[in-house]
Amino acid sequence: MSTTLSRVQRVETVTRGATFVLRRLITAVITLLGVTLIVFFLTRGVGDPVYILQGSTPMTPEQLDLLRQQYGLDRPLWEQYLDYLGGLVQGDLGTSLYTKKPVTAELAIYFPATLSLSVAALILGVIITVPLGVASAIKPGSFWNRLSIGFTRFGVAMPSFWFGLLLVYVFVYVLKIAPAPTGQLPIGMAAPPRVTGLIPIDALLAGEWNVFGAAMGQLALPVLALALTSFPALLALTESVTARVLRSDYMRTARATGLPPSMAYGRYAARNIASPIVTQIAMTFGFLLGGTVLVEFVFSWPGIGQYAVLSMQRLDFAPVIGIALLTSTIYLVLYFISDLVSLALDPRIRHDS
Amino acid sequence: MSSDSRWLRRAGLGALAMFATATLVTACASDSTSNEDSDSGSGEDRTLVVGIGGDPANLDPQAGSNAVDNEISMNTYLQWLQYALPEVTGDEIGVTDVSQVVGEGVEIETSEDGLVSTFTIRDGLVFPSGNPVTSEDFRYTIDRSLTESMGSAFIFQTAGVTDVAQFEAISDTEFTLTVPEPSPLMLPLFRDQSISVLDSVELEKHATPDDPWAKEWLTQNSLGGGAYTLATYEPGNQIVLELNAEYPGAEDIYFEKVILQIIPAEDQRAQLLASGTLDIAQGLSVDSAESLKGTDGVRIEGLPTRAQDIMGFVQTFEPFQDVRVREAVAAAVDYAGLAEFVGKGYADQPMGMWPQNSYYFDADLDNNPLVTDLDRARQLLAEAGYADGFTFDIAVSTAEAGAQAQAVAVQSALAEVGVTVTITQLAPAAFSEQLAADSGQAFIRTASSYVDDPYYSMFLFYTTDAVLNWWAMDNADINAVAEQMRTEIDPEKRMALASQAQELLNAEVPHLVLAEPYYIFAAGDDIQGFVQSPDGLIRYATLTRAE
Repeated sequence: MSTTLSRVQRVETVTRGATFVLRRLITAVITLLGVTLIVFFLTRGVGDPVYILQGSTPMTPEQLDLLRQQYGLDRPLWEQYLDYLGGLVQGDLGTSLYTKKPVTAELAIYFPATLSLSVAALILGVIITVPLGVASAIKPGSFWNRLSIGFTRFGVAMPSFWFGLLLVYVFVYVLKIAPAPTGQLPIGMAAPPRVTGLIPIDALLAGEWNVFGAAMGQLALPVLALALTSFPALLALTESVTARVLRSDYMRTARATGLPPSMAYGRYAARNIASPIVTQIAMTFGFLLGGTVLVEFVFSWPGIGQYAVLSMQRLDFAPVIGIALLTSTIYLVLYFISDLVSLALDPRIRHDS
Repeated sequence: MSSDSRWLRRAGLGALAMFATATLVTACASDSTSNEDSDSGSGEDRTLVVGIGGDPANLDPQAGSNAVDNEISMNTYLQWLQYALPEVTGDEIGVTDVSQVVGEGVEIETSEDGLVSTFTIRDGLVFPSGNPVTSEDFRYTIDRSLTESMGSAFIFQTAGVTDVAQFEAISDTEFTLTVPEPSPLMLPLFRDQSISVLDSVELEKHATPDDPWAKEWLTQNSLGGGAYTLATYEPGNQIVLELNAEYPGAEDIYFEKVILQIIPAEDQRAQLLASGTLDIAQGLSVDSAESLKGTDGVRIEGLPTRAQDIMGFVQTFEPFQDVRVREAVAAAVDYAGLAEFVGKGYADQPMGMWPQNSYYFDADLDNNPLVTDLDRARQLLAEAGYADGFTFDIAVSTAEAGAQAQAVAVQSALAEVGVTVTITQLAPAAFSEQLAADSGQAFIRTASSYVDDPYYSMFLFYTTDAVLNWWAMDNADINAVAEQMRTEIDPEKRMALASQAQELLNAEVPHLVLAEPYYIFAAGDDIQGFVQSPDGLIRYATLTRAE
């Protein structure tokens, strides 16, 4: 009897899981389709790119018409959109009007720079804010609590790019202890052979320790700028969730029944605290991947933020849509992963779903 | 102490330890490279580090679309001709002699009737691929340009070369171009970097059935042949050029390597120049230039140019059909204020419709309409039936911060005579589209013609069919003068015709000239040998570093 029941439960769990994944996939496809539709027609409304493409050499109206023909810009918009979707289904994000390179190839150049910045900022931000939030919740009114309040207020009030500028001014130009904001490597230093596109990792793989050190040095200030300004929400959430869990009836009961602290806090409290924190970390990571454009600008960081700005200025449609799609996909994937992690951590969510 | 407190305290200390470790790692990483960085940039004597604002859009010289593209082409490709470069010593700034066009890749001789030009390729020219430079490379360059209607086709067509059949190879090192009528523009146009000589043998290796002219390959690669060759290009980061040892006179060129470092933020370029990390900072605004003035180790030079900040009236819109209205607006603008407060000393007041730094400028004309006189402005408005003023829109591009500041100054000045101005900011493409379609009432932008030739300016901006006739102007007298200039090759007669054109333009007032902006050369004070050229492009081969 019990074997039959557990089999039924397993089938139910698998069915629920499959339904959950399917629903998320359908939502994702509809969302991405919406993104292509909105971005495609919005960018086409900004202007005709042939006037930028002609550049410094004047072109006659006939030459401009020829350019439109060459790039298919003379066709009806709906036809261009359907063409784009046709390519998209086959994994083709289109081609840049300027570099003539596939957008996927260009994203592969620019995205690793943003990824390395975002991952490093995420690691540092989580290392700082999660323990600080927990410590603050444990002892209200303590030094950690006051530090946490100060950190949250600072993060909310200080724009990351402005803080980045201050860091550059103080550490590069005044104290002269940080490298100049010249991108991922100092001027004149050659990048290691490309394997992952992440320069610190590629430098390690190539055994180029000086390049690794230099790359880490270049990361330091932009990562600090992002880590100290992008995590107030995570800090506040960690603090409030921890306080709520520590003061909950079930924790009091757990301690009263003689459970050792490692089990009470390390297992029961941690699992209840982790679920919302994981979701918030995923949201912050998504924000970092898509929202570091101003920090990239300040530090001459060749990431997708810069690529997006450049493409918009040039009215290079395919990269703009490609970047929007990439950013949307990242958000969707991160939310999906955070949902899965929450499902695994919190049985109440499993039950509700 | 309870076991709970001890456990929580341990957790807290653990967190603190992690935070401290993270901070230490970050600080160490930062410190480990700060010294290394000081060795780069100007520390390497034979390496020139130039800060630029963004990536090149296209490395194909025939399709260059911005100053970065053009500067790379100018320095990495063999040119047909060039303006005569002066000898520059010490801290002097040289200025190219636009009345003298000399051979770089070729020597040129033109027949007496001006119809046949014979080009002789200089001895011993070799591309970096090892292929010798031959007549076929020039034919290929023309053919590719015209067949594919590249941006460079404008140069050939304007010079009278509309069909590759006009080319005839006499030998591997000699060829002729025959034009249907004498072209005074051929020499100055053929120094344009967009017609750089292409290594046809090498480029054909990259052609495909779908792309017979290897356009796709050339967008991201370089064939070279100029003083420098493209060594590496890391998008978003840097472009490295290395001295081309095969280039004639390479042994006299000082810088062996040029690093074009992409620093998108203008303020950072300025600060990196001030800190000695950059040798040259390109594209600095007057504000940045002003802020750097007096900084130790930095040299800021404002150099007069032929560029003009213009405010155009589109004559298809009321009330700009009436020349009195255009004159009234011209008389209401405060030119001295614009040069002082917007130009901040890096611009000249205009002296007429023609750039005062042009070889052809006539300073003796007495009908300059660009003189501030509010009473005259009010009187002209009243005569035109607009005594109570009128309202109009000025469009500016969001890419031109200076134009926005000028628009505000114009708005304020015109309010004094009862004219209300609305400023509309447009994205660069939308702005250019509006200009081409003559669909806005007025606009402000910077304009300049690379070629200092009166017919080129007329043909580009002022005849009815001009490709950049942004003002929808249709003046029969101006068309007639331009037509005479088209084939007139006698220098004195061209000068007289240029004066006549300037007088007519001063009377027509198709646009205002708000100011004549300077070129800002911002460099380390040890950088010498700079030669200012009408195209605003830097020739790295002329630069040296003071020992």
